[in-house]
Amino acid sequence: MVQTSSYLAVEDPGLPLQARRVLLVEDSSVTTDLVTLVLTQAGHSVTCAADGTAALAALRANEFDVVLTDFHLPDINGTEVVRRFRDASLGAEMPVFIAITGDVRGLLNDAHNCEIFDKVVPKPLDIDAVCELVEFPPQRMSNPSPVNAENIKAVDAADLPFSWFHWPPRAPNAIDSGISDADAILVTRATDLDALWEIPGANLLPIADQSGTLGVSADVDLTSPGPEEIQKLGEVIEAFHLRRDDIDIDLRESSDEAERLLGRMHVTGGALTPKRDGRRASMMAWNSLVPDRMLDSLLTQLEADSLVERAFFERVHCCPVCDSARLIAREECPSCQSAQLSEESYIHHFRCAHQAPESEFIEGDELICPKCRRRLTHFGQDYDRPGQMVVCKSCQTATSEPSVSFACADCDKIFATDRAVVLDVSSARLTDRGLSMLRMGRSGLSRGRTMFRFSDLPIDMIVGLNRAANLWNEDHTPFVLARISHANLFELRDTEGLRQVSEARRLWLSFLRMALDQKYICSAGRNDDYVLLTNMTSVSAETLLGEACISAARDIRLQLDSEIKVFGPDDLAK
Amino acid sequence: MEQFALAIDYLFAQSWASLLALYWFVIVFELPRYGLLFGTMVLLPARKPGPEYKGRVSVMLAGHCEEEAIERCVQALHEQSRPPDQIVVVSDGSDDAMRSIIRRMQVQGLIDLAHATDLRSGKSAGVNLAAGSCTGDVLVNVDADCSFDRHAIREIARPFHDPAVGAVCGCIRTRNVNRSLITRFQAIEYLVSISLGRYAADRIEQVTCVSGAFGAFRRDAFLNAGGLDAGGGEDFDLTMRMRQQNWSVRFAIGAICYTDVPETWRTFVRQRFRWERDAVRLRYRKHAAQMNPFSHAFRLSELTGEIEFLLFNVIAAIALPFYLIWLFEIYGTMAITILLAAQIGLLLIDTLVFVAAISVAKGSKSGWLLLYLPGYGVFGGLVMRFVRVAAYLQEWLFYASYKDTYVPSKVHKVRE
Repeated sequence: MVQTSSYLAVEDPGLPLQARRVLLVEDSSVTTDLVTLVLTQAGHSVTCAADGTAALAALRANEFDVVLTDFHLPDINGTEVVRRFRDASLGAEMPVFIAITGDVRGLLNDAHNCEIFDKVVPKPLDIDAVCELVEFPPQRMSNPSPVNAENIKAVDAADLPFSWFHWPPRAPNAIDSGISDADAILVTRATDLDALWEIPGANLLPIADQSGTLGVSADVDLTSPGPEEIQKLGEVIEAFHLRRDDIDIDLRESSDEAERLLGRMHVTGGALTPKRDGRRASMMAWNSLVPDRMLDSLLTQLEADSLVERAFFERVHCCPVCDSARLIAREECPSCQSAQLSEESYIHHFRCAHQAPESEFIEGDELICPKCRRRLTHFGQDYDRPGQMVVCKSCQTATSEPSVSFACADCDKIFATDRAVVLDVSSARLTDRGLSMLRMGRSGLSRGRTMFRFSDLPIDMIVGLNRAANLWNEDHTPFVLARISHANLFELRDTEGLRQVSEARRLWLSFLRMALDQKYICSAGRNDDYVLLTNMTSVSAETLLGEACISAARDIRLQLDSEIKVFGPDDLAK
Repeated sequence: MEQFALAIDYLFAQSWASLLALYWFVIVFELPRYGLLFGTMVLLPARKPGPEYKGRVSVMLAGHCEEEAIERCVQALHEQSRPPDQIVVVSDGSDDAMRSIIRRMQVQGLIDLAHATDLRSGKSAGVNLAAGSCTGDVLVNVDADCSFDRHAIREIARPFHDPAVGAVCGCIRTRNVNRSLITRFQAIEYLVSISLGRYAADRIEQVTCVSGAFGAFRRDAFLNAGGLDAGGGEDFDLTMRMRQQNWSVRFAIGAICYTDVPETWRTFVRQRFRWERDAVRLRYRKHAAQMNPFSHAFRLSELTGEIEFLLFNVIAAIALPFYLIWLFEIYGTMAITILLAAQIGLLLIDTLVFVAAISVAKGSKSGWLLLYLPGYGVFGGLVMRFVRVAAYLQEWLFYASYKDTYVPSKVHKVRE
């Protein structure tokens, strides 16, 4: 059934740039009415079709600029409509095909489906977006070629504007060149993940899963990357970046497994969380790639140092032979171990005291006592059913107490439940002490530092300091290196969030730069900021910086509570 | 005192014939019983125990609320020199921890099969259920509150080497001998009537009851007989039926099992009331045909047992009050001395019997019970007979066995 509503709203002052001929294929009358109304008011001519056959007829009969088609139609689906029309009119001028569907993910998952449309619009419809699409149709696909679904995904994700470390590595020496510059790890195939974890720095990068197999171990699921996933990826990469910067430089590069795990916990938000997962032999998936076999001892070690605290999550029973937790719990026959058990009533014949499984009494539709051949007719008077038992279908043994055993799904071993190895799985959370250690380093759990480490300094500062030191050596031109610590930094991070605090610091530093002469180098370290003042003594530097700090802090909402510590050439020589 | 001397003089003045007339009760009801016992023991040799039985042995343990006893009993079975090949436990509608205990024992591999019903069905139905699950050639029926000598299973299974043997009775002794006077009397009674009595009866194929506390059955014979019928006295009933089917029933004196006997007069009398009532019900109601020479159920081999029971248990018990009345009627207070004199005479025989009993009941260490023999004479000769008379009257007049709590009331209504 085809309806045409081609009246033009000529008196409408807002005529479109170009009136389009639109075919709307949609079985919902509400959607049809709404879209037709809006598009006709916008000056387009709309033809409606309620099913695929009508749509094909309309396409053959008329020319259209844009076809808006529902994916799910009463007869043939939207993809089929487009495919048939394309097949039937090779080489002809094609309209723009736009799919409307409530199941974007499903459509995107099918490479052929997604390729055939020029655009996919999710339901519920954003009516303004539809108008815009009709007015400015996306570029028409001239020659869609069937593409391998995997390739599309790989291309899609890898083409995103992030610096990826690919796993498995694309080049043999990819690992050697390091992954410190990468924003995230893109896993296309989940192989040798233990080796991936071993790579220095891999513990602090977000894992984007394109293989569809990592589950909760990945930080972002890019199996079918849509706008939401890509947005999330951006957010995760940024969050990881911020938290990574929050970690002490030594710990960031630590090769100690416990410290690496601690770092990983921090970048993911402070917790190591297990989740039941049948795909793994341990039946537990973690939001981390740290190998299962290492986890318990690492967490025990960290807990002993009060760096994490654990909370019971689940008790897992494991195979005593292969350690797998993929166990089938079964009630089995105590005689032959078969699990083919069926429930049956006991029958007690009062008169002759015969008591046996019901099946021994059943003859046709009668209950006949096998001992005395009397017919049992009166429940409660002749007989009763004192309980339930299970009967083994394999060996006919009857018992009311079947044994319980486990069958290992991995090594096929069947064993009694008390032989299973019992493991308690706990989630873990960073303690305040753990967080402090990550931020301050192993030895820096106290805040009263007077000296600094050169390794903390930003690179431009080291260059500048080198130059100033040379001048000092040549003609004793004085210089001052000031370290500005923000006493409130950690408290603010906890209350305001990392992003707010780093933004405040960035602003603060730029205000400080403005307040100082441009020749001085102002540079941000990890937790502290540094200023190199050349040709100046410590005393005057302190005065100058004190005023500059006050003026810089004035326009910042967050009170960083900055403290200045100055080091002259003599202090540094120590 | 003077009267006592007078009575002694009177007794010594009697001729043999007049003594016979005076002590007719003792001569009719007591002496033949001892005579029979001694005759068998002296004239017939003990039957040879035979070689060890090689077939499979299953143990059936059915009990109601035996949470305290069951585990100890099972462990005692595992301590046997010849442990059973299969242990099947039935918790008969227990509402204590028995069910969970047997489940645990099954997990631990201490028992092979476990049944637990929600409603109590009675001991017979419980044992029948267990028997249906047993795979052994010999089924040993055991009470959960019994404990065993190390070789009990080996010895109770031994007679099955002879294919004619259908059932074997274990040798039951008392465990709580020292708890009270009544337990000591029962200890003597068990030694005399079981260790010695059945040992003697075994020589003339007259073991008529395989005790429910500890007995063994050839599986085929047990199942062909239909297992136990609704209780009480189901152990005696089954033995009668198996003997009817011409199975040999034996007594294994080496298969020693210990059980607790009632410790108070009250519980003792109640237990004996039940036993006597069941004996009467089974012999003279259910299996009355066995006494009828014209019935197909009549067996000459059963006649000895029937006559023995009728004469020494039933008639003796009924006759006693009449004898006492007669005695007091004629001799007045002198009757006491006359009875005492009879008791002294019987004490001599009892001593002989007791010595014989402890000599066959090896390892019983019960010689000291000799001190209690004078009391036991009165207990067995007078008290027990009055208990019997009361029980028989109760059963004949009121069908009291149909109200026992030993079997659930639902069974009473329909039991044969």
